[in-house]
Formats: sequence, C-alpha cells, structure tokens
Amino acid sequence: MTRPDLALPDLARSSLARSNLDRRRFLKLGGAGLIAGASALGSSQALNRLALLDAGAGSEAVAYAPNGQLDQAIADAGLVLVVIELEGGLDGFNTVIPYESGAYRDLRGPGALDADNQRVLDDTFALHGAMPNLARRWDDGDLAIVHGVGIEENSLSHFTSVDVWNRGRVHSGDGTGWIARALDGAVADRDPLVGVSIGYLTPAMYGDGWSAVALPDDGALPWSASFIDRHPGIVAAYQQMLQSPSADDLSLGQRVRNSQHLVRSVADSIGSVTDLGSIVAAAELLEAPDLPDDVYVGDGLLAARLSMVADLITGGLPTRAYHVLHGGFDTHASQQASLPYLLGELDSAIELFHQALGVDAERVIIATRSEFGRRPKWNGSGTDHGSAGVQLVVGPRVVGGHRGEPSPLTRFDEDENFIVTTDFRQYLGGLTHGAFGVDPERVVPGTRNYLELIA
Amino acid sequence: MAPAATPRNVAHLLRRAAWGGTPAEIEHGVDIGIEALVDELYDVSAAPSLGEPKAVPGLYNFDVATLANWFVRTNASSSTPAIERLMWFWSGHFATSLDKVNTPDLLLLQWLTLRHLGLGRFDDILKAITRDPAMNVWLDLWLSSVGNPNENYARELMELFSMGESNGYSQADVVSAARALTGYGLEDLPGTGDRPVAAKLEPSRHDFGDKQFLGDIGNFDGDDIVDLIVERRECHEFIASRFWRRYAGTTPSGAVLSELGDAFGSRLRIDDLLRAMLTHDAFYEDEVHEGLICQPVELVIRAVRGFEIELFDDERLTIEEANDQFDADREAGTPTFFLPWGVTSLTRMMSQEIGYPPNVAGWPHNESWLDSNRAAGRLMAGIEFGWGLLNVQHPVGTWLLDNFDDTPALTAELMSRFGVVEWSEETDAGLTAAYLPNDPYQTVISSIAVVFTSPEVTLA
Repeated sequence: MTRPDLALPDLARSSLARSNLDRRRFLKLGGAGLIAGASALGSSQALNRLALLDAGAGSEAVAYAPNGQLDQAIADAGLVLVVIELEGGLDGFNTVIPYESGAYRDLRGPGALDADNQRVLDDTFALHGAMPNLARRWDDGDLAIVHGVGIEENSLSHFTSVDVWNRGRVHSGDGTGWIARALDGAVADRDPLVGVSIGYLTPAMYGDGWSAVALPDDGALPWSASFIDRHPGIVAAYQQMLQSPSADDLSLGQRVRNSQHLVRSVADSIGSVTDLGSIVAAAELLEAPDLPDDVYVGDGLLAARLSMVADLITGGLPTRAYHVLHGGFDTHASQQASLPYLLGELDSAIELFHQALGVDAERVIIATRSEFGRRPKWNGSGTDHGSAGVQLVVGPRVVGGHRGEPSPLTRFDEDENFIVTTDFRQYLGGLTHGAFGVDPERVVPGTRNYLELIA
Repeated sequence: MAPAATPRNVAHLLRRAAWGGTPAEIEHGVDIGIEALVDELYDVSAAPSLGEPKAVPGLYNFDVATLANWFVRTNASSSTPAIERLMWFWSGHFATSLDKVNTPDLLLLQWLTLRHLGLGRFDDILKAITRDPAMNVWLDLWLSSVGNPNENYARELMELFSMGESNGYSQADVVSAARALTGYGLEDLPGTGDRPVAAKLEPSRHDFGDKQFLGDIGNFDGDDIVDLIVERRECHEFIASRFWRRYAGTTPSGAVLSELGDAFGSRLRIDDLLRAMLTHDAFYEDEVHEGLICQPVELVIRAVRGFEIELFDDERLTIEEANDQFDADREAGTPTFFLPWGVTSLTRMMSQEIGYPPNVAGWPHNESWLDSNRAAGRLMAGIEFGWGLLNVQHPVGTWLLDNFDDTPALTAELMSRFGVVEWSEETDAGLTAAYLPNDPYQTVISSIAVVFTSPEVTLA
C-alpha cells in the first residue's frame, strides 16, 4: 500500500513511514497475551471493509481521491476534530514565551527558559524549544496559538475546572458535554461512533440520552465481534437479555444492560470498518532507531494513542470527534525536569500522527485543552495552579497565527494569576463552528466573539 | 428503629461493607439483626494483625503485581473483611499513585498506616497522612519550604481530604496552609537506598511566621492546620458525604448528611460514622440498593473471596519464581491458586490498576465505570475469570461443570458466590439461553461471564 508523498519531506523519507515502523511492546501495558483470543484478532474484516467502501461512507475513498476531489470529499465526510487534553494544567507561560519581557524573567527566575531552549516565532513570542515541529508548522501557517484562555470565574480546583471545560457551560445543571452537543448539531443520526474517546469516555462526550464510545488506550483489549462470537452461550444470553436497550430507564441497573448492549454493537462496527490488527499494534510503543533529532517519543503513550486514532480515521470510521489524554502537566514541582519531555512528546506525537494520517491529515483538526494555566510566579521548583493559559490548534485547515489577547504580564487577578482574556467558550465555540459548522450558541452559549480558528 | 434484617438487607450490608456474605453469614445476620452485625463487622479484636508483609522491607523489593496480589489476597482471605474494605476506602480517599511515587513499598506502608488508624479519630488519620512518605512524594510536600511554599498538598488536604472544594475556605487559606506545611522533609529521600519511614518537620525549612487560617491567626504548623480543619462543621459533613458516596453510592439527603455529620463530629471517630451510616434506614432504601456500581478491584476481591480461591501467598518469591512454582504445581495436578498476574490482569482488563488511581480525586464513580471500554473489559474479565477457574480445576469450577445442565442450581450457586440473594427474570432468561446441551465447558464459562456482568453483580 503506498500513499502520496506529503509536505513533510524529511519525515516522509525517514524510516518513520508507517509501514516501516519498528514497534516494541510498552512493558507497563503488557499482558495482552494473557487475554485468551488476543492472537486471533485482525482477520476476517475484509468483507465488511468492502461493504463500507460500497456505501461510500469511509475515508478510504477520501484517502485515495485525486487532490482535485479532496475538497468535495471533505465536504461530504466532514472535518474530524481531535482534542488532546493536557491533563493537570498546562504552563502556558513556559510554552509560549514572551521572550523579550523582563517581567517573564522576574516572575520565573530560575524557571525562565534561556534562548537555547526557545524557538523564536516573531518579535514577541517564542515556542518552548522542545517543540521544533510545531514551530515549523507555525512558519507554514498551520498553527494557531490561542492566548489568555480560561474560565472567568476561575476555580483553582482541577476537578471543578475540568468539569466546566467538559460541559462547556458554567453554572449549569446540564450533564451533557460540549462535544456531544456539537455532534448533535453536526450529524443527523446518533451512531455512538460519531464520538470516540480513547481510554475512558470523556464527560465532554456525554450525550443527552446517548453515549459516545470509549476504546481502550492501549489497544490491548480484543474488541472484536469474533471474540464474543467464540462464546455462543454469551451470544445467546445477550440476545435474550439485550433485545431492547432502554434510553428512558436511567436506573443504574438498566445502564449496566445498556452498556453491554453498546459493547456488542460497537464490537460489530469496529470489526467491520477497521483493520483490528493495526489497532492492536498501536498499543506497542513506536521505536525508530534512526529517529531524527527533532522527534522525541518519550514514554510513547500519546504517540500510541494518536497512532490508534490515525488507524481509525484512515480505516474509515464515521467518527467526527476524538478525545485523547496526555497526562502529567500538574507541574507543581520539578517542572524543569518534566515539562520539556511533556511538550516534546506532544510535538512529536502530533508529527507522527500527521505522518500516519497521510492525505487524511487534510481533514483533521488537532486542538488542545487544559483545565487552567499555571501561576505566573515560580514556587521554587515549579508552578502552582493558575487561571488563563494558552491552547494550540494544528492542521492544514487551521488559520495560523495568534488568536486572542495575551494576558497582561504585570497585572494579575486577586489570586496573583493571569487575567482571562479569552473565555474558554470563545475557544470551544470557534472549534464547534470551524470543525462541525454548528452554531456555537447552540453548544457553548453565554459568550460572544467566537474565535475564527478554521478556514 | 433498626432497619429490618431481611436476607436482602443483610446481603446488601455485607456486600457494601465486607465484600459479600456466604449463605451462612447472611443467615447469621438475619438472626442477630443489623445493629449487632455492624458491631461484629468492626470488632477489631477479631482483626488479624497484618504487620509487615513477609518480604524484607526496603525500597524496590515489591513489584506492582506482588503489591496487587497482596492487597487482593489480604482482602479476600481476611476474617475481618469490613476492616480491609475500610482500608480500600481510605486508599481511594487519599488516592496516591505509583505513577509518580514509583515505590510500591511506600504505598504498602501508607495502606497499613490507614488500616491501623482507619477506624479511629480522623485528626489522627490526617496528621499521619501528612507525614506519610508516599503522600509527601505524591503531592510534593517534601519540596515545600519557607519562602517557596508549594500549594499542591495544602489544596488537596482541604479540597479532597477534609472539607470539599471551596467549602468554607478560600485561596488565601490554601496559601496559609501551604506556609504552615513547609519543612516536612523526608528523613531518607526515595532513591537514596534507605526507606523513608515518615516525614518530620525540619525547622530550617519551616515558615515560623504568623498565618491567618480559617479566621484564626497564629504560628501554625501542619498539625495545627489539621486541628483547625476538623473543628469545622463543613469537615464533618464532607467526610460523611465521602463515606456515603462510596458505601451507598447515591447523593444523601441534607437531613441524612446532617445526622451523620453529628454522629461523626462529636468524637471525630470513623467507627461512629460507620455505625450511624450502616444502621440508618436510608442506607436500606431501594435507591441505595440500586445505587452503587461495583468497581473492578472490588469485583475481583468479591470473586476471589466468594469462590474461595487461594491466592499466591508468599511475597518472598519473585514473580518469576512464583510462575515456576505455579507451573510445577499444575503439572503435579495440584494447582490451587491464581498467579499474581491473574489478579493484575483481571483488574487492568477492566481499566483499574491497583496502586494507580487516575488522579488525586481517586477512582471513578458509578456510571463512569459503564462506558463501552470498561463494559467490554468486564465481559472479557468475566470470561477470563471463568476460564481461569476451570483451568486450575478449582473445586467450585468442578461442581459447576458437574451441574451445568441444571440451570436454576447453576444460577443460584453463581449468584450466591457473589453474595446476591435476588435476581431478575431477565437475568434468569439470559442464563437459560446460555445453556448449551453437550457443552459443559462453554455453558459454565458463559454463565460465569453473564453473571459477572449482570446488573445484580455489577451493582455492588
């Protein structure tokens, strides 16, 4: 299987091309071999794949379309939003650095980055030096940096802030998530696979009476109809018990039954549209012996998760939104030892993801989210919880450049944190409109001036 | 008036507070009543002393699989399961992850500390956890010193451990508490070869200035902060709500919370709170019976306990040696236990790894455990569990194979093993459909998996 060359000549010619990836098992996640049947996966999906292509719903058709037809294909299949949640609170101040500012050096003291660890973007800002690939995308106009993003009535609690971001609302008893509401507006039917969360199901995808799908983040679970089918007693029992999942009865007991019903139907769908073998392989850490200097895979978790998403996108799932976790950003201590690696992993994982997507990269928008930024003032070895921070949006369709006003560097809120200049809903609204063509007022109401992020 | 000691209520109490009861234990509870049963459950004179596990204490002796095996075995085999169930509660309340701590020994030490103090005074527990080495590493307390206070521990001490988010305190109180908590250094830092026993206050790193905290002003240290917190009504009701959430599952009414807060606040004792909660009529309402999803680790403990599975019990062996031992036993025809990786892989399959809570807020709750990934994991784990039971020729497995064509008996036996005394017609119909004439092996594995994932068992 060959793919057209991409606009990433160095990487495309390296051994990082997907077909040549040398993978090794990530030990912490080992144990897949203990699961009976794991070795039997990955076969017998050919027929279903053909059926999908006939139906014309898959991105295989997009992937091999001549360029002239690509726009139409995207118009038909829609853009795909991949949200990367930077868990713990990204330190925007050391990610996008106002390198000419004396205030930056004063506030950060020993935690301030020197010139060797910066990639200058323009007269005012530099990107953290651990992100050379994103710096190049900035030059290409494919990276938007969104400044001053936060929740106006800021909470310094991880869990309260995460909850507000997930709901896309403040002061609301509405338990649905913003991505689920956006998908309600974007697609006519509620096939659960319109939203896929890698790992646990993000509450941002909690729908009103429907559930999006969570898939294992290590690819180790045998998600296949054939696995269940090997146990005819279970099949018969479930046929008997799960004939009519109820959306009305919301008792926990009924939810247990509904969840097993969802497993069954998703296993069927996944098995029919993707090469399961490649998903299992995505659990294995990417390792390329001649990795270029500017690609750093780190623990490989994010790269593996995004590799799995790439498989699902190129495999033709009807999914319009993915959610992926990248943890470890709660850098109260030892920030100098951890942040470069976290950002390097992000930078490289995005690069490898684009590589794996091939021409499907044209229809994919990558957007970060993080519950809050961090305290401007250094605490001795790291940074405590803050308010406003930066978010990044990446992709060929992204309108590159600075978005939103940077927070002032000399005037803070009552807790000595950056002042929010971009309401988080302006950001989520921009993604809603840009990726799904849905009116943000229907999804993240209560603010104005939604950002223009995607052309 | 005490709640009625019906078999249903007694089985419910034993599942929630003690990993499930056998038919004989349920009958005993019906005989003596709920209040007497609760007293028996928390009778510490009956509790085995766990002490240190058999391995020589020291850094890096324990690997994660051994720790997980120790934990499940301790819970499943205990003569006082309610005491171990409480240790599990506390380990989630003060959720500390090996992802950052990296040293299973230290987590074990934390759990033993919590088990030792867990029924007693809450202020003692908070003071001990403030000095706990694993916690100090986990929330960066050992790096916090005068002039550079680190807010990580101070914030979660109030938000998650004692008061509830912004519930009677402000960001200024967090800053003050962080100053009061400076200087709690570890005596021996991780990685230096010696095991840190506890943190102590190092005067040279402590902020001795005055702090204003919850309205009081003084030269407070960490113990003072705890003393000021536990006086608060917010603390009493918050702790009551955390217990209710993990034992009952639902959101308690204001009246119930207030009663429980009173029962706890008068002496700050956890056993007072547990008795008040578990003998409260509200704990036996239908909503509570159907109000809690059993977490994967809990399900595995219930299964190992209920099916009387003997786990590998010698922490002096390495996992490799244990594997060899297991293979030798199986060849000799006397396989009687699951391997350590059996426990680890079963819970991991269901997205819960002992020692790795997702964050400091602890394990997910209720419907979060029902997303498609986790639901699929439960099904796979149910199949794996059934396969394992038959593979080791376990006596219960053999009994099930012998009776595979008597569906009502098979169903009753499986439900009973999980401490369940009532189940729905729907589940009955499913198990009837799972019967495959001429295939005892498939019938039993499928039936185990169906029961494992049934609402009756999934609801704790």
